[in-house]
Amino acid sequence: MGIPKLSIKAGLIELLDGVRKVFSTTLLSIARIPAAAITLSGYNVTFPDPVKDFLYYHSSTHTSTHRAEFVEMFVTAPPQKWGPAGAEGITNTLADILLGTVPSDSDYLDVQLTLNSRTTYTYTFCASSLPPLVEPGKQTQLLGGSCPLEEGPNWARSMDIVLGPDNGDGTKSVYLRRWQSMAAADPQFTGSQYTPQSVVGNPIYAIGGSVYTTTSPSDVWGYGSANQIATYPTTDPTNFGATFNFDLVITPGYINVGSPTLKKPFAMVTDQLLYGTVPTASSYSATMNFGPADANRWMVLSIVATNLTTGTLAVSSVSIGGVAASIVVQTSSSSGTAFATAIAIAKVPSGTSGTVTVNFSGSATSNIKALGLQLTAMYNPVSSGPVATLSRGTSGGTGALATAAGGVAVAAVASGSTPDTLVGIEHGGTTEQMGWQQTDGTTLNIGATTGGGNQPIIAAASWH
Amino acid sequence: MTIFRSKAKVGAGFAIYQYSGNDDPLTDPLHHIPALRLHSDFDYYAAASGFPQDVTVAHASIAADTGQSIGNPSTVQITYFYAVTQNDYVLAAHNLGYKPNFMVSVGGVQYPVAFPVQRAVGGARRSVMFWVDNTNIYVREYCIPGNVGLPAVNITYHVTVFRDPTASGTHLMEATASRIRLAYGKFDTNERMAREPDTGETVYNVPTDRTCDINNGHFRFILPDGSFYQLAPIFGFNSYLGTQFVSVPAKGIAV
Repeated sequence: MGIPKLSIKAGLIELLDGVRKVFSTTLLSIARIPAAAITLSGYNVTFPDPVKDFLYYHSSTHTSTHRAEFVEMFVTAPPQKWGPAGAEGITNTLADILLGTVPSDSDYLDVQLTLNSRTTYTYTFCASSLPPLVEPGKQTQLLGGSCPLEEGPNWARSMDIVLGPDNGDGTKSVYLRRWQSMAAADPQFTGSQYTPQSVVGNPIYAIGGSVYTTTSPSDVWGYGSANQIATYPTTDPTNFGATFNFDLVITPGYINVGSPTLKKPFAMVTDQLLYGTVPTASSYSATMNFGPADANRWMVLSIVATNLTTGTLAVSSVSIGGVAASIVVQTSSSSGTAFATAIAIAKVPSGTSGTVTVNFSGSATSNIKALGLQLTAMYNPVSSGPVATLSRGTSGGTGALATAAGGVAVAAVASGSTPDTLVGIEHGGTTEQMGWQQTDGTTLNIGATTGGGNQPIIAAASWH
Repeated sequence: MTIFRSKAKVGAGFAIYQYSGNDDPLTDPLHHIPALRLHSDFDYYAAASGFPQDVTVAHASIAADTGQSIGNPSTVQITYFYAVTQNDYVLAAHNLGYKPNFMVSVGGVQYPVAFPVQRAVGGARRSVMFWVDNTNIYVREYCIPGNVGLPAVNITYHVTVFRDPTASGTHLMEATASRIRLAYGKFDTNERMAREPDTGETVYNVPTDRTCDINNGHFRFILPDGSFYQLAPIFGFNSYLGTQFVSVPAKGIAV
């Protein structure tokens, strides 16, 4: 550090520490306006109980001496998204909460937050209480006003402190915006999970018992004349609402954000379709979401198809938004039953949605029993050619898929029996059959486990 | 040429502002914010002594989870690997005696609350949150090791703690041979200020809009450099009102 200097010239005032400019009229200092700060102590933010439903599982066994009926009940949260009206995919409205007003020239909020407490009503999830993402009693700062609050395997809650538009009276409003989202069934972690057939909700709580009989009961579960019948509730005893209590100091500021350039992400999943049974045809078409259009957008389609009959099944051609796609990798098997996986890519610059068509070839193209399609939008890839591909047949084990930093990997797994579980790649969605992951250059060793029957086959590819 | 005026007035304080024929920015600052370059009624971000500094934290490994189940093991059982382990690490001591503002970045990018700094297969993750007390600044990790566990990882954090921005001096301007203080000490040549970057300076992006999206029961984090991270595919674009786009406006600053 040299000799400090205050410099006043025509059109320029600067204060220097000898080397660096401490203040300059050409370099805006980030300002906060303490007189307009909004201070809230012990402020309650409430999230409602999500929409719920029951999920029933029933099975029976028959022997020469007895018959047993098993019933389990789960409280489930069907797919839903709560937030302000007008946001994408909102199923239930959570109105913004007005916190106060700040000067209309404010373009930045400095938010200091301390979570004092969280009140929950039925929060035991899988026998353990999930702590909030913000540790109580700790003062933190919110980047961009966002505050993720809690997250379970398939549900999440967050809030934002946001600046509203100019009110026209010299002020802007500051709002607290709440979000909560629940996905369909399918915990994102691998392991011993057995999802009953036709599950449409996210099992969040088991409340049922089992019905066990040793005489000849009705085929209807729960029939009451058996020797032993466990009772189970038929009303929802749970409440997954929550109230968070905060101390908040929201100080408006001016940072002259101007009109910044917005960047698109490199890649993101835009849609996924899953069918238990598809129409009798060798060609299947569906309308799928593509995401924002871009002159250099490429769409990657992951395909899983299983037919429970003997024969052969392969993907012969794919089109996405009317554009013929290149099949970069595919695998198929006729070991016992016919099943196939494939990854295809096409450059689709226009449209936020469109028709995806998959044509199959082979002797088992009719009555495909399970079809899954996952679409990933990829922007400005270094190359439309994949970094690597992986094709693994019914040999089992894992296969190596090279990746690049800042890229994406997709994988698809199929077999004649379900559920299959991909390992070695982050995945999610409503089955375990199509994987997706942002990559950092580390090689992925991708394999799969299966509920039984044939060894799964895998197709995977990575781009950057 | 833009004319800047530096002026002090009893009851109005001191200001440096773009001059447009009147002194309204000085006397009515709340309605002339863009014209102001400095006003003694406003606060500015001055780095506390000893900051910024780089701190490398050795985050310990976290053992794999053994799973938690609901349902009946003889019929239908759903097992989740969702145990949570939390740990705090001290990033730096500031010893200010109050809870200060701060800015923490990794590789030039600030992370929002609960950002997953480490991810593993199957959705396992190590998320972080930065927090302060009267003495230290900390990073708190929130780990979900899943059924695979999390290996140890070293992460270097660029930590800046800002001092109490209220006036620290009594004079409009004070100067010695080694130090100049302006606007009652709000600007001090002994301190580094957060401001627009000069040529060649390291730039940190400060987001001015949401950095977390939510959909499909999961979060998607959108960082100020335009990159994003999600732990599971999130269908659709984002939850932003008005436009369907994944990004966040940000302003480059230097400290």
